[in-house]
Amino acid sequence: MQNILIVGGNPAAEILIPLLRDGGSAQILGVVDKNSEAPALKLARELGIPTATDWKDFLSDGTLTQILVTEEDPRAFETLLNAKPAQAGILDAAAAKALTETLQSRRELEKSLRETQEELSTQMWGLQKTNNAIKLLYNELEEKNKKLRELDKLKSDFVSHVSHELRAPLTIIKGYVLTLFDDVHRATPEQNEYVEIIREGVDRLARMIENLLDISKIEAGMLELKKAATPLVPLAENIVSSLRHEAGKKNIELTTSFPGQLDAYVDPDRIVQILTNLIVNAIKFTPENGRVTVALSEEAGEIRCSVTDSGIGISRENIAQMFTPFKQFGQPAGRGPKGTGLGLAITKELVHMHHGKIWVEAEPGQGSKFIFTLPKYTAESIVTDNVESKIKLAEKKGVDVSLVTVALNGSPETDPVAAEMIPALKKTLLRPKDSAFVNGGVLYLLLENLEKKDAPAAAEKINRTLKAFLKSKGLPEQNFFSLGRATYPDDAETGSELLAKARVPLARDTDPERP
Amino acid sequence: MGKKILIVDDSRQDRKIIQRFLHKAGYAELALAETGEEGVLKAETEVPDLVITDTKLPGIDGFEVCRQIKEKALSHHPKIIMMTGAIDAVDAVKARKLGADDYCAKTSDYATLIDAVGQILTKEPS
Repeated sequence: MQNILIVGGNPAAEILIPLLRDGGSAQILGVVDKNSEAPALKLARELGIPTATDWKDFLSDGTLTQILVTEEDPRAFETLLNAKPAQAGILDAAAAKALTETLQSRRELEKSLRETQEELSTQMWGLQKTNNAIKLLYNELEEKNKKLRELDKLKSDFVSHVSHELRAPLTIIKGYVLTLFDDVHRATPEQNEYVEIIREGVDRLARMIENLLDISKIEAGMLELKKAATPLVPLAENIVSSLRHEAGKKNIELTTSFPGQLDAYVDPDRIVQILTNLIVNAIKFTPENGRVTVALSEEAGEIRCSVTDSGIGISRENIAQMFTPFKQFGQPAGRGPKGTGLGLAITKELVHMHHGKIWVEAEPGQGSKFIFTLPKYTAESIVTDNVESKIKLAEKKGVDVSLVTVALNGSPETDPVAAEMIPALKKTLLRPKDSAFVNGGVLYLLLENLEKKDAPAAAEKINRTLKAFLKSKGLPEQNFFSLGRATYPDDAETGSELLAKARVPLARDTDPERP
Repeated sequence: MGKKILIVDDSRQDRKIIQRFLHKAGYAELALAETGEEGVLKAETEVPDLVITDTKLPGIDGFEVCRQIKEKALSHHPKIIMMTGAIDAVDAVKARKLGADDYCAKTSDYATLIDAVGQILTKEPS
């Protein structure tokens, strides 16, 4: 804080007085002028600042730190310098103006700084309010999500439970109705017809229950595919010939267009289900004397299967909902097997579980074409598929998976030896939930619920077992196989990463039996 | 508590729910307005201590309600809370600049709104 004495009551002083007074960094001790009626002195008196006609009166004030002389009076200046150790300066009108401008621009800067600060704090306020609200809404959403998941599970459990419960009495009804049906010769034609209607109803109900069970299993992720390398052509041929009779009833020509051989890595039972469903649908929606064609082909690196009919077709708006559960369109009137409304929904899920796509191309009155694809498989894709489905399962159970690879010295020719190792390992180490398979001269062991820290011991046990196995077979042990291992999720985040890490052979010197 | 609150919201359902929550929180004196225009009018005639307005309203919106109430410089100086179903930082700043005392999200339990009301009404000397 500067304590200032202003000497000289000219207009510069008049400007300085309020500036210094309001500036906050200085205090005016007094204003001096020979003329006691000078305007600056009047102003000072109004503001309650001490005034005097002789500035020497103030020099004895010990707090004085600065003297501002607003008159060009060198004599006064000299006296000041000699009299006080305080800073002194001469301020004429021009200097006073410059000072005023500086002070003013400083004040403006301060003002704009204050405004910026205010704006900033307003923006901060807005962000904070929004942030709080987002946090709150997020929690609310999370809560709702949890409830929805619970409800969804409740629904799935309910559907699955009820379906199971319905199955038992239905089996009884079906059994007895069929027994009645067997004795038709004792019934009147009318009774006979009633029994037939009941039988159809019961069949439909049974199908619906089976479908509901399938859907609830798929939704709960409990449907496991039993994949195997499957020749598709004989499989499709079997389905077609089993449905020929059904097509013949409506005099529908059922034709096929199959290549010589086409293999896929699929769950054959589920592919039968998909194809049967599509062909039965096609027959159902095709009028008498129509035509249904089943085709298998390989296109653009994938397997493509299509079922084309000359039936009633599908309108554009219905195409989008074809695969939605319980949506049924253009059910044929009158008697005959009715759909459950779940067939296509299940078909779609099954195709998706096989990493395939399914869609329909149709026009009203122009027939429909249902097409689904299945990925082509390679030896590698089978390995990846196995590893990934194991990881998925383990994730669901919340356990780790360790993958141990045993690479035999050689190539696929050693597969039989590797395959023989599996029963040997099953005796000592493998548990029922573990899976083991051989591919391209490598034995893959997927050990469920085996943590990373326990993996070395397990690998060592495998090592010893295999050595003993080779010895018993009279096969050379030296360098015959190498082990690799990795654990999910410790070592890898994905199936392919786990595979890559588990394929790196462990260093030989970790083998304690070796010198 | 003797505080009067004016609720401006075009949704009948929301007005009812806010009313119920405020009642439960101990605020007995409540006034209601369905539109922004009615809200601005009642902010004067009903002499509320606090105006709660939705941001989205038919006719003049909540921001305009806020601006007009503040512009009138009413002698009872009603506080203003703006609430919204569509939280937005730009809107929050806009509300603040128009003189809103708080800006909060409409949640299903209106807990934030009741909190904000409590804070604003106890801050003010009665």
